[in-house]
Amino acid sequence: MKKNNSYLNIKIRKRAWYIWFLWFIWIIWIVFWIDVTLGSLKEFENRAFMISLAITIISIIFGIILWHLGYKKPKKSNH
Amino acid sequence: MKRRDFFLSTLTTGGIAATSGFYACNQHLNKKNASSQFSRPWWVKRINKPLLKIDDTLYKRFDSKANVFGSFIKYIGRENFLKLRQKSRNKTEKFFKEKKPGFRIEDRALAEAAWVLSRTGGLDRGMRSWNRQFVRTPQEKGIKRYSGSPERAALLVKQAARYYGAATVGITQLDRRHINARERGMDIIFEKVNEPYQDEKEKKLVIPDKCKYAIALSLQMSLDNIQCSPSGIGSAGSSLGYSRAEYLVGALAEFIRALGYTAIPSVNDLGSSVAIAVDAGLGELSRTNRLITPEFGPNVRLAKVLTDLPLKTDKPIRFGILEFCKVCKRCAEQCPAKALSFKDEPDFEVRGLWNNPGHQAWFEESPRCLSYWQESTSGCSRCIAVCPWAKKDKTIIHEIVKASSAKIPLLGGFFTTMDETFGYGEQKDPEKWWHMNLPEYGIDTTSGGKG
Ligand code: B12
Repeated sequence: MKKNNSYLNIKIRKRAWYIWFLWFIWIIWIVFWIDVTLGSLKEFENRAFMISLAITIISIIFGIILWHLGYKKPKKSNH
Repeated sequence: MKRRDFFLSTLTTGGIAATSGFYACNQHLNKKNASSQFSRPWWVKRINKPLLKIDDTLYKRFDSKANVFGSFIKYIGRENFLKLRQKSRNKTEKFFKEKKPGFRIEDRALAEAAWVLSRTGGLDRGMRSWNRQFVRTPQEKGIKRYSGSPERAALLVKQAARYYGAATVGITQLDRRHINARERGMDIIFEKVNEPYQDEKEKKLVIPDKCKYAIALSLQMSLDNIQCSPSGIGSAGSSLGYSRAEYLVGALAEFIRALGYTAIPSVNDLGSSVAIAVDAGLGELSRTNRLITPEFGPNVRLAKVLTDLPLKTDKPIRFGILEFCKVCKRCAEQCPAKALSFKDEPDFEVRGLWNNPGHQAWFEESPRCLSYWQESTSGCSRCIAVCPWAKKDKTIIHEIVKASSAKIPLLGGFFTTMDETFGYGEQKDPEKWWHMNLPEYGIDTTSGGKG
C-alpha cells in the first residue's frame, strides 16, 4: 500500500485456489483438535487432554507463521 | 506404525471423519424412526450368522457347576484356596490400616452397598422370580391379552427395556444350547407347560417349550469407576451394574406378564448372557471371551429375559472386533492375572473344564482371574478399562477411531498404540472419583439405543 496524493492504492493479490483449500484443511484440523481437547477434559483423560491441547496450540502457531511466511512478498534484489 | 498404515490412515480418516460427523448429527433424527430395528452406528453391519463358529457335534448345554464360581476349589486345590483366602484377608486389613485409596472403609462400603438389589435376587428368586409378582394379568383384568404384530411387540419391549435402564436391547430366537443344563443342583429342562416352575423333589427347573425368544439386554457401567479398577471404587462399577440389571429384568418380565405372556428374567443365572447377546446383535465376542458392543465397547453388564411373546428378531452384527482383537491384545497384556489368551486367532481349544467346548473363542484361564480377585481384595475389571473400545465418547475422535477400525482392520494396531500414547486405560486415582461431578448412576444415559 502506497500513498499517492489523496489516493490510497490498495494492491489485492489473488490467492491460488489451493491456498484456500489448505486454509480450509487447517481450520478443520484445528476444530478437530479443539474437540478432542475439550472432550478429553470432559472425560477426565489428563494425558489425552495435555497432548491434544499441545497439538492444538502448536497447530495454531504453526499455521499462523506459515500463513504469514507464504504472503510475505519474496524480496527481490535491486541489483 | 508402518508408513503404509500411516498414509492409509491419513487418507481414510478424512472420509471417515466426515461420515462420522454426519452420522453423529443424524443419530438424533434417526432415533425418531418408529421401527423396532434401532439405528446402529453406520459402520455396524448386520449379518446372518455370528462370525465365530459353533461345532454342532460338540456344542452342548453347560453345567454351571463347572464355571469357576462353582468349582474354584477343585480347580486351584484346597490348600491354595486357603492360602489365597488368608492372603486376601491380611491384605485387606493392611490396606485398611494404611488407608490406601480405593481400599479404605468408604471405598469398600460404596461397592458393597451397591450390591443391595442384586443380593435380593437369584435364579427364580426375588426380582428374578419366574412367575408373576405384582402386575395383574389381562385375564385378571377381564381383557384380552396383547395381540399386536411381532414388529410392534418388539418395539414395545425394546422401548420398555430402555425405560427400565437398558443401554441396548436385541431379540433372538432362543438357541437352547446357550441355556445351562444344570444349575443349583437342578436340571433345567424344557417342557410343554404353560408356566415355568421349580420342582424341588424332582430337582428340576422347567422352562415352557413355548418360550422361544430371548431378549438380550446390556447395561452401561460407570467407566469412571471401572477405570479405577482394581479397587473398591472399580468394584462399585460392577456391583451397581448388577443391581440395576436386577431391576431391569424384573421390571421387563413384569411388563411382558402384564401384556399376558410368560417371561423368565435372568442376570448371571440360567445360561450364557454373552452367547445370547451375540445372537441378538448386541455385539461381537472379543479376546476377553466377553462381548464388545459398538456403543460402549466391553463396558456393559449383560442380562436376558426369555419369553413366549412373539417378537421380531434381530440379526447378529459385525464391526471389526474379530480383526481388531487379533492385533490389539492389550487386554491380555494388561491382565494382572495373565488369564487371557495371547493367541492370534480364536479357536475351539478350551483351557479347562470351566470353558464349554464346541464354540470358537479366545478361551481364558478363568481360575487365574478369580484368584486375582482374591489377591486384589476387590475384584478386577482391568480388561474392560484398558480396551480401546471402552470410551465415554465425548469427542468425535472415538467415533472416527471406531469407524476406521470397523472398516479398515489393518489400522487396529496403530489405533491401539495411539490409544496407549494418549494415556487411555491407565488406572485412575480412586480418591479423585469422590470429587467428580457425576451424572446419575455415573453413566451417560443419553447415549445407547434399542439395539
Ligand atoms: C462365571 C463367570 C466368570 C468367571 C469365568 C468364567 C468361567 N468360565 O468360569 C470369572 C469369575 C473368572 C469371571 C470374570 C469376569 N467376568 Co464373568 N461371568 C461369569 C458368568 C456368571 C457365567 C459364565 C459362564 O458360565 N462361563 C462358562 C462357559 C460357558 O464359558 P465359555 O465356554 O468360556 O464361554 C464364554 C464365552 O465364550 C461366552 N459363550 C458361551 N457360550 C457361547 C457360545 C457362543 C456361540 C458364543 C459366541 C459365546 C459363548 O460366554 C462365556 C462367558 O464366560 C457370566 C454371566 C453369564 N451368565 O453369562 C459372567 C460374565 C460373562 N462376566 C462378565 C464380566 C464383565 C467379567 C469380568 C470383566 C469381571 C467383572 N468386572 O465383571 C471378568 C473378566 C474375565 C475375563 N475376561 O476372562 C460379564 C460380561 C459382560 C460382557 N461385556 O460381555 C458377564 C456376562 C456378567 C454380566 N452379567 O455382565 N466371569
